[in-house]
Amino acid sequence: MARVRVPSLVVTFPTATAAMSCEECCLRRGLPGRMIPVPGEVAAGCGLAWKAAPEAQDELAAALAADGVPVEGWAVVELLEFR
Amino acid sequence: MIYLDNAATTMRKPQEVVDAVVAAMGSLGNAGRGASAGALDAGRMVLRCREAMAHLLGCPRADHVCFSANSTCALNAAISGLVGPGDRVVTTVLEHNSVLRPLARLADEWGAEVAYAGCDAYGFLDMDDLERLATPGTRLVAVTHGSNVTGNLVDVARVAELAHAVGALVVVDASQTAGAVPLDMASMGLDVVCFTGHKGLMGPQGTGGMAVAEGVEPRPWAEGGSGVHSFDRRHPLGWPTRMEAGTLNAHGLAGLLAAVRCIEEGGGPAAVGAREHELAQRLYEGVAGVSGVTVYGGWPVATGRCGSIVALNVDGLDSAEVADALASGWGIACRAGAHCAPLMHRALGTERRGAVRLSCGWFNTEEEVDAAVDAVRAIAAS
Repeated sequence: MARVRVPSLVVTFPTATAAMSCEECCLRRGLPGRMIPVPGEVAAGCGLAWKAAPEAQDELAAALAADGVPVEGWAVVELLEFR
Repeated sequence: MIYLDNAATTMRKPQEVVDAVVAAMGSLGNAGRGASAGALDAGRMVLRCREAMAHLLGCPRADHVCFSANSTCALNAAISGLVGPGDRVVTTVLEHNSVLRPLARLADEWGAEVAYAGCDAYGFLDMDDLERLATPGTRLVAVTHGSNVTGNLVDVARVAELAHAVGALVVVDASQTAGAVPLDMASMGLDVVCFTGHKGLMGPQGTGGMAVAEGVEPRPWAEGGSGVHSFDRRHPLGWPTRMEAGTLNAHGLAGLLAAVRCIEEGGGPAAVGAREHELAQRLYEGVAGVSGVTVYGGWPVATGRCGSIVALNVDGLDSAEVADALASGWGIACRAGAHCAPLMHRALGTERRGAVRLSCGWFNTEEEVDAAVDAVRAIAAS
């Protein structure tokens, strides 16, 4: 098993409730991704973020906007994966 | 035991509620605190509970349902978060201390001006008095949806009209009605609805909260853990976090979610409340006219505006004596005294001896109600 850094889309939210609403929205629409702790390089402190592939941003943004899920920020960062 | 103290708490809960709490205690982490499987499961369940409560109360936004330990916490937070120094507030003599005392504190500490609308001889809110008191510039009207002493209902949509006409917000105490009387915040124009989970909703104690209309922005009452923005000096203002400092009672909320689902499966608040009201009406008709028994509330004049409470006294006896006799002689649980509603008792003339409050719930039966009627008759005849 090796550590690799993979470019990832990270969506952050103003509240944990908004994060859970994002997950609900994505599961209902079959959008890929999963919940992760907010990476330190995206935001200091704690909180939840949605991780997905960078190319998913447009579709994700449209879905969240349609469902009224508030988003704090979007970032693409290299996140650790084990392969 | 014949349990007729459902206005204090619905002691008998649907088995689904018990099962949900037990399951949650063995599986849920801390909602909104990290991304472990248990934390996410807790977060998902809490979100479903918000959605269920929003649907039940007619709140357009689930993230504007903020959970707290009970109605008292929610009312303190709403009132203290919306009223500022010197503001004018109108409330009513029907209120519980969970409204009266936060307002008294604001009057004492911030110079808030508090006016109290009265009631008629049957304990119904005097809407004309409330309209007279709600003068332009009034900041807030705080009103119960149903008296916890008499069960009398308040036309909160009409109160909202009067409040909004003078630019005031309306905070509704739905402690006695949530789950048993239909509420629709949006169509009724209600700004804040505070509820508790353990009464008409038949959920666990330690659950409750407020539903807040969009555009209404109370200041956070408690500040602390939020799960987000840890380096911010003050509590975040996003919804619902602004009104939810600290760990939520996810175990209790799992039970509340199960309870709301049971109510919906039972036909919703209208159906549940109709059944409870039917039992209370049977109780009222059984004790009304019994020599030596005085019944309070609106039953004689407006049955349809009564909830599921029958409050009474027996001539020559203190309410505590009657309640004790019912408990020790017939195994009937009820509530004597002042019910934390001093102005209501003062208005009814029961300030000294209180009243015996018999309150029906979803799990009561006609046989239990008839046994209570027989017991009251026997005590009155003794």
